[in-house]
Amino acid sequence: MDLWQLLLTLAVAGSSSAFSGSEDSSGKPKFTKCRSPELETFSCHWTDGVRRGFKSPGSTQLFYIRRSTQEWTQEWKECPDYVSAGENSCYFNSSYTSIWIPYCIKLTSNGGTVDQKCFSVEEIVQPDPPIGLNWTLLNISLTGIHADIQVRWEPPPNADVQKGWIVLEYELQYKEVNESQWKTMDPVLSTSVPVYSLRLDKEYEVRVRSRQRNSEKYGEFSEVLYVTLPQMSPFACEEDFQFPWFLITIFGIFGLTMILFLFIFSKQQRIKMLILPPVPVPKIKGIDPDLLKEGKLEEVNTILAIHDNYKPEFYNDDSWVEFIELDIDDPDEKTEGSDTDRLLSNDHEKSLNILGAKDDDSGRTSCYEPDILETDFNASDMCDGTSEVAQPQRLKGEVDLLCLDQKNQNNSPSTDATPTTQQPSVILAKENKPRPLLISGTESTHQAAHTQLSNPSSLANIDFYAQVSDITPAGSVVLSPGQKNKAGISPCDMHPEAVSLCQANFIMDNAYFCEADAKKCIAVAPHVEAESRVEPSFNQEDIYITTESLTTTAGQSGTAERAPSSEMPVPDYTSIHIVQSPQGLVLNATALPLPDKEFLSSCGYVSTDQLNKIMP
Amino acid sequence: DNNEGRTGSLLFLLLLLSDLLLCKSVASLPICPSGAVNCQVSLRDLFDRAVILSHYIHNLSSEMFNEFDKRYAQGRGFITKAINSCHTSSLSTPEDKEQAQQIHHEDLLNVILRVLRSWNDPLYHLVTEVRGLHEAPDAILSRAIEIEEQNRRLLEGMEKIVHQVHPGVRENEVYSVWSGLPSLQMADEDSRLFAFYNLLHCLRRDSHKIDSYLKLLKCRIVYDSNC
Repeated sequence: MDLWQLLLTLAVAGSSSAFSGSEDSSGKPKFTKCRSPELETFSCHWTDGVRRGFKSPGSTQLFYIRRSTQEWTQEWKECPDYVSAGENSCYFNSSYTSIWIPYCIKLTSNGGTVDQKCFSVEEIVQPDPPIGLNWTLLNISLTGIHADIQVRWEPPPNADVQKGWIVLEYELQYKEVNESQWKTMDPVLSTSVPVYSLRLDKEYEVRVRSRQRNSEKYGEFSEVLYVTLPQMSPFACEEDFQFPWFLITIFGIFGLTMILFLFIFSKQQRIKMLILPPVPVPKIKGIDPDLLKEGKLEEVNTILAIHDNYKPEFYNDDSWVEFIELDIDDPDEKTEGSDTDRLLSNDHEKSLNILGAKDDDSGRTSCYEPDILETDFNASDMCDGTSEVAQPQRLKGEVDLLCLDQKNQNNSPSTDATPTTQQPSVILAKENKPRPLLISGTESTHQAAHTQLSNPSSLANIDFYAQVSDITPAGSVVLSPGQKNKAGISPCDMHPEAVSLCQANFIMDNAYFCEADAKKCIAVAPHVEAESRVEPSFNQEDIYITTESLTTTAGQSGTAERAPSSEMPVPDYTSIHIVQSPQGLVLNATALPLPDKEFLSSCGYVSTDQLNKIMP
Repeated sequence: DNNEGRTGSLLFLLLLLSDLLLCKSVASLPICPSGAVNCQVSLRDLFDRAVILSHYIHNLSSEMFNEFDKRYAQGRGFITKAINSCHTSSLSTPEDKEQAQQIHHEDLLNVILRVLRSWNDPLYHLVTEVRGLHEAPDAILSRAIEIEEQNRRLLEGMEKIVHQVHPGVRENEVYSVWSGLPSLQMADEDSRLFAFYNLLHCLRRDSHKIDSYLKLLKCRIVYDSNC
């Protein structure tokens, strides 16, 4: 490596920090700028660090060195011209300037180097400002308020644009006279540019600057050009933009009114519902409500008699028996479902209107309205009691299953079904199964249950009349919480001894059980139930799903009322068998004579055949 | 009629010229429709295209150098400006305006060709080596690829111009050999980056040189020194 190159490297390395613009703490002279205005000459400027009273040119000196054809010149040369570029400057004219050649300059003060810089000339190009700015009016807008002008200028005289040695681009800035912020236009290559949309009653200032294309640094700005546009014609229209408050107000009111009307009309149904809830109307299938109101008893009697026949028909239905007889061979869901479906379909066929009433004018729709049905329908003509007859019978069978399963579980410890499984099964039933009760244990212990089915006497305290509050899409029936308190405990969790105690009181063919008897059963073994509960939240509820049990998750503790004995059974319904009095249909069961000891005296219900026995 | 014909062709040429100048993307300018054998494009169009290309290449080189400087060279003190030695320095090229004006345009064209040819190899290797840079930003890589392609196209265009300006004379393919590949592949990160810095600096300088020469030639040949 050349010695000079090495020295130069060291020198430049030492001065690189100075070159990068570190602050001058000690007041030494340093380079401020080196600039070539036209790519033919260049000049460098520096500052005097310390103020001097007199200028001694010998003290600060500039030396330069440049590479030429691969070899550096051997020595530093002094600045050829300290004068032409002004004070503290060095001017290199065209004979000393070579483009695309690296230069290095250094500043010395009293012999010591204070600053150093290296560059190529094409990197420091900053053209002079354009000259000869002038403007011409292009046109005036029709409103007489705005105008367009064309600004022209000449390139800087020393830049040889004509020969193409340097190519410049220009940037124009303009502003109103009293503004502070200049508006900048995009760079252009040509020496004239239109400025659009100047206001006629304002004065503008325009200035232009140039730079070499592909460079980043602009030169200085040209002198400011003052543009005084002709005055606005007195007939010019006011173009002041006023905020259209009036229009906004009008449209706002209109819009709000529209929204209000939309709201009212769309929410009409809702409001109507809120203001005027639907009044339940007594409705029995085939019976004109007017008949009931007017009290035409004979017709009602006949109609009811027809309904009466329904029950025994249904009761002796084969499908019912089939449902009870569990299929051992095919214990999968499908069978269950088919049985249940058959049962349900029978239900639907016979009492389709009753159960499936959806949105007609009958008051029955309110039966299926969970919100409204929280009230206790006590002996009212709400939903047809006969329709509900089917439910408890079916329920009985299911409850039987439940009981049997559980009994089997109790008896055979190998079975895995526990009371806790009831809960997930409920959830399942909610979604898929067409049965209100899906007992997960049923599948596993289906077989075993079959054998036990002959003993339905474990059925204790079920309310056989239950009000259907809703029908799930799957087809299962959701019952309203009726005798929650007393049926809160699954009868199957009763202690076997307790069961046997209760058993004696129940007659096989009695379809209904009285709460009093049920209470006895429950009262005997409450502690057992409490123990066997692991997930009390569900078990505390009815055997059947009620709307409450569906909506309320396992949040209910098992510590809810467990003392059914403390409460009197409150029947949701009394079946309508006979119209006794001219006043109404409702048969007050307590009024019935109970000749037999078969009938439990406190029981409010009698089955049909029992009644037939009573009545001649 | 003759005047009208001339005016018409002039207008057409002007239209073409303005079209060429306005179009930023050089790739979309077809000189000759594909398949035309005896396609004669005027010298003016050739020069205009060449100037656009050279200007574009110089733009890309500047941007690439700035990106590299920003990304890799900060704080490293690459003081190469002083001892920068480009491989094209051995070629004798005019170094100021007077020299450029005095040289004959044929010779100047040859100079341009030589410089362009000298950069074929380095640009090709630059593209491959830039990929190996640690976390090479896409800006640098994409520009390197673009420059390499445009350089080839410019070379083709220049050969066409030379063919038109003085046909028949075929210069020996003189160019400067680049031997900086090993330095670009050095294991030492610092040295490698320094080599890149050097190369990109040289590229920026040489692209500016070619751009200036071409603009000078265009004004001289096409516009008769009256741009």
